[in-house]
Amino acid sequence: MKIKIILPIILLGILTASASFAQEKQPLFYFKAYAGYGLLTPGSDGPYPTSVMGVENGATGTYSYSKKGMGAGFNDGFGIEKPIGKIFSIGLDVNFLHGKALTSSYTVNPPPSENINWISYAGSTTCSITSFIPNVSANVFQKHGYSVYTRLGIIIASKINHQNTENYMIQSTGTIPITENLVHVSKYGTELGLNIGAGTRFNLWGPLKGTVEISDNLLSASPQSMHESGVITEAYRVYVDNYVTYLKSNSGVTTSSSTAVANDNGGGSVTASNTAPSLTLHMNSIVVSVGLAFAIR
Amino acid sequence: MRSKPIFLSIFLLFLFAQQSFSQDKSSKISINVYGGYGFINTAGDYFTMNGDVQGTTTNSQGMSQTNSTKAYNRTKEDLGNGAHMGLGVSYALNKFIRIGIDADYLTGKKNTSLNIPADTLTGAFNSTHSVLSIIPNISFRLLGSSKYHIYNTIGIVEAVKTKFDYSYVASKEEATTVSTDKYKYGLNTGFKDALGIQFGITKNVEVFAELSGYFLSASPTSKNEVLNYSSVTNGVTSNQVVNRNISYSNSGSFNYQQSTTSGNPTVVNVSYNDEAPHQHFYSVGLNAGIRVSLPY
Repeated sequence: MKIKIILPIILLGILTASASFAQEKQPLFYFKAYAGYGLLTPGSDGPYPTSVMGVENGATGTYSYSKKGMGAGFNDGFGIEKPIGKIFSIGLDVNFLHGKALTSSYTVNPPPSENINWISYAGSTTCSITSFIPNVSANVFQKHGYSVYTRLGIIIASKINHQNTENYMIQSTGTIPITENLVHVSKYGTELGLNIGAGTRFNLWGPLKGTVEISDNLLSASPQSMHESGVITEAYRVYVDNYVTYLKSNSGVTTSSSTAVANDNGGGSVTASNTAPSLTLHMNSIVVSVGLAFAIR
Repeated sequence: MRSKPIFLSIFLLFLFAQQSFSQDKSSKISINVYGGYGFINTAGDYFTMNGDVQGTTTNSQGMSQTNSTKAYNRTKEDLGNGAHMGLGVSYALNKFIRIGIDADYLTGKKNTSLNIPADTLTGAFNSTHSVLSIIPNISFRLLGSSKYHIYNTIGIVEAVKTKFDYSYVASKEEATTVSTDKYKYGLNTGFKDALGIQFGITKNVEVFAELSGYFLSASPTSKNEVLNYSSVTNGVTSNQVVNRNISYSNSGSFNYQQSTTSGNPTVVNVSYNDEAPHQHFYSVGLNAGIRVSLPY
């Protein structure tokens, strides 16, 4: 998500906050810690097979793809918040998403004429994200002992660890099965997203407050590159080492260069270097979290 | 954007407003109409047309070297870009919080004539999309005076009617492929957030302008694709029509069915189940509108 979109929102919030500087005395700072879980992942991408093989006339088979996408999983983090007047606060959170491992699979039984008993796929995706979230909060409702607030922040995802695995097996009649085990590791630069939340903060004891919050995290990221490695096995082994660099341009020409070297066992290695049009992956989540805030006066 | 319905709506709003001028009590119910444009791409979906692969392979002493290139071109307008218009009703719970419901119509910007450069394959891609959504929402008055205030609106986008069609034409030498794809959708849920400013014009009439984000992730329930292939060999044209019906679900049986009727054209009917794609109708844009308080 582009910073040009979000910065004006934050800027407007900060500018309007200045009007309320002279309100009643607030704590100097809050120090916060929280933990939560990404329950829903609307529009997020998950593990999908690069290819679905053997689905043709006369084939049978079943599939089961992950119901959740990247963004699901346990979140924790900490932050600092500076009240500016009675209504607004500005803050900075550091959030850690420990992404849940997502799995998908299919099995296909091709028609008898193919002499293939079955083809199977099992894939997984893991995605962990470290992000900084500068934010503006606004108290929209206050009573003695608790308040309700909304929050708007920029997700600055500084570290994204994203890995896919793809495991295929083809069992033909009377032969050793062919297996293909591939690992895809994607590299990202710093990506930007939007964090929108609403919550309540209530008094626990003295300077200690409790919070319950629901937040929507919209993060779309485009990998800079991807490294595919793995092995194809039958009676031989072929090692695969493939580097893909993604092109940002809307149009152009992609290039592919590969070298296959055979060994005496019938196997060998394939080393490739490719460019490909950029792709966008979505890592959205709706997170419910609880936390503590300690007021420094 | 069609101007007649908007002008009519604004006129009716002013009529309501005139009737409520003489009310003294603070009104809680208001109606609003708005229009706007989502023009900033925020990771909505796009489409890429690929050319054919051109390459060379050399073999020597157990080693094979392959080099190839492929041209591509991508749509310029994401899903979600386009004009919004809508109307809504809201109820003030108190001075600071207002709940409401809007009906929003997105007329997506069309993609047309996407050609592939530097390739033997020539083609074009066209797409249209639209979304009718119901958006229950809650607005918080953040700051302001008696004449204006700044607000934040958070809404749940419930897409009740989504439309997305695209077609594709590609030609290479004596062969032409024409593809027409139409998706069908059920209900899909998204999210809206807006930060705006509202000015009082009269006691009962206010105008507002807002920076609004519209984030809808939709999964179709099915797709119908019709592919027409034609090719000329030795002066004889042969045609094939493929009707492909895909039902989308998260898991289950592929249930692949195919039947072929020979002739010219040869007709192939195919149906199967597959994982639904996630489509992202995302945009950030500007809306402006008018709000009229009713005497209730």
